[in-house]
Amino acid sequence: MKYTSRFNIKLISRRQDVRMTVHEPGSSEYVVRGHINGVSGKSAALSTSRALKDKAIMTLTSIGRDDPTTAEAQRGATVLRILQGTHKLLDESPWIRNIWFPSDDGIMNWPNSHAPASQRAAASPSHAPGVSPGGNQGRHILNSSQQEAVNTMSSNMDSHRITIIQGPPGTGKTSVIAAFVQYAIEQGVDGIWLVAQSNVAVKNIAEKLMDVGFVDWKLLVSKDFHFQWYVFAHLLLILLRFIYVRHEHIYTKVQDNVIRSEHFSSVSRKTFKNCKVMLCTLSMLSNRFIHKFTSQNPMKTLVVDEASQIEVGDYVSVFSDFHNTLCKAIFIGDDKQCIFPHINLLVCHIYYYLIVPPYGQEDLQDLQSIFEIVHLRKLALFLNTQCQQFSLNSAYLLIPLGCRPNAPSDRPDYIRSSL
Amino acid sequence: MIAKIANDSLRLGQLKPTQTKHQFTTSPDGLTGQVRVTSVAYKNKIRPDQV
Repeated sequence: MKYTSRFNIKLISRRQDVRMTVHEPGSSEYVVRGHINGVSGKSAALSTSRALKDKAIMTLTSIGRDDPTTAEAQRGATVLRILQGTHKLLDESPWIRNIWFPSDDGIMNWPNSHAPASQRAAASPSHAPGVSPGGNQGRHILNSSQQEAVNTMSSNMDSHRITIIQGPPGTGKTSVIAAFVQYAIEQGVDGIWLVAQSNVAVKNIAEKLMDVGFVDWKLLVSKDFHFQWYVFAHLLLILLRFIYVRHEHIYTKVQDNVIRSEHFSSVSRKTFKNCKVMLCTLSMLSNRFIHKFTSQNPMKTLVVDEASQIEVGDYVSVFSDFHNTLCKAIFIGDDKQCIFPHINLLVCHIYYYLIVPPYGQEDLQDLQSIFEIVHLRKLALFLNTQCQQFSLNSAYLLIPLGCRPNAPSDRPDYIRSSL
Repeated sequence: MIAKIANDSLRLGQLKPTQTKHQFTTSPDGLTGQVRVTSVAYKNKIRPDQV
């Protein structure tokens, strides 16, 4: 494979080899080899040496591992550039230093030039947004832990440049993100990039933003996912119906908020020039056209949802490509390693079975999410109040029968230790 | 740190399955006379393998 300065420029296209079992009327099954000629959405052309017309293809198997995704390739290219010395990332990026090479005293060091003066003068925790009044349409009433989280997210103090928020399911993580976005926009903050591991999580954030009546955002989505695929297409339809019913006046505008990757090269910069909030998956930040968007909306605040599912090495490309503009990184997720001092032990146990670790962690035990970086874990804020209202009976039923906590010995270490 | 990130990438790549069995439907391709296949599930969709 040949590397270029932009790793994700595709140089070589190779055929995807496949193996089929074919059933022919009046004959037994036999194996045919072929390859995929082209893929469009979820449809692909099969090319084989034998005509398959009037024959039934019983099974279809791709041979060989999938090639690296764009994000994986970008990560590899970043490492390569560091090793080649063309990237002074380790010296230049305070994000790399503060996450991977903490000082002995645990104090993070940030260059003064790393945040715009206008933002440095902005909110500190003591001036953060108050609890939104119930009468203010489209706003949420935040509980105390959510309030503290939004305060910290809005803070521009150096000690809050990296903000970690930990919350079990149902504690309002997405609501916290929406509240933060609303407040930040009111304060004149721009360059907010909301990212997550999965398209569905990104969709959830978009949905929440619309739920609170905020629609001044753009969603960058892969055509592979958006095009024909049931999850996004189905959810988007639900979403649009929901909007149509609840906010008919913004229906047309929301349609324009989604930019599919196939249009990245042709979409006019005017379309997103004054948009202060961008949404996409973490992988999308490795798209070869992403700088078209970041040049108009420089990434100043990065909010990562589902951060517990993301292996920390996946951020290297982000901290490499955007370290000149990035002022604040906020990680939100639910990590099994953390102990929740305020929540019921049974909920703790149920939660243990519901969380999702970074992909591959079951096989590669030493993979870490941002929550498992020891000196950062100490910074974590906990969303907890709503969790106490979590329906125990409902949640208990979610656990497979054989896994339900009956005896103390069944319980994970962190629960036993807090008994 | 760099060694670990590089090594983790390699190990994660090795976790990918060497074969993927697809769920699909078929239809004739009127232009080429070949067969078109359409993925049914996103998780094992047919990918355009490119480097």
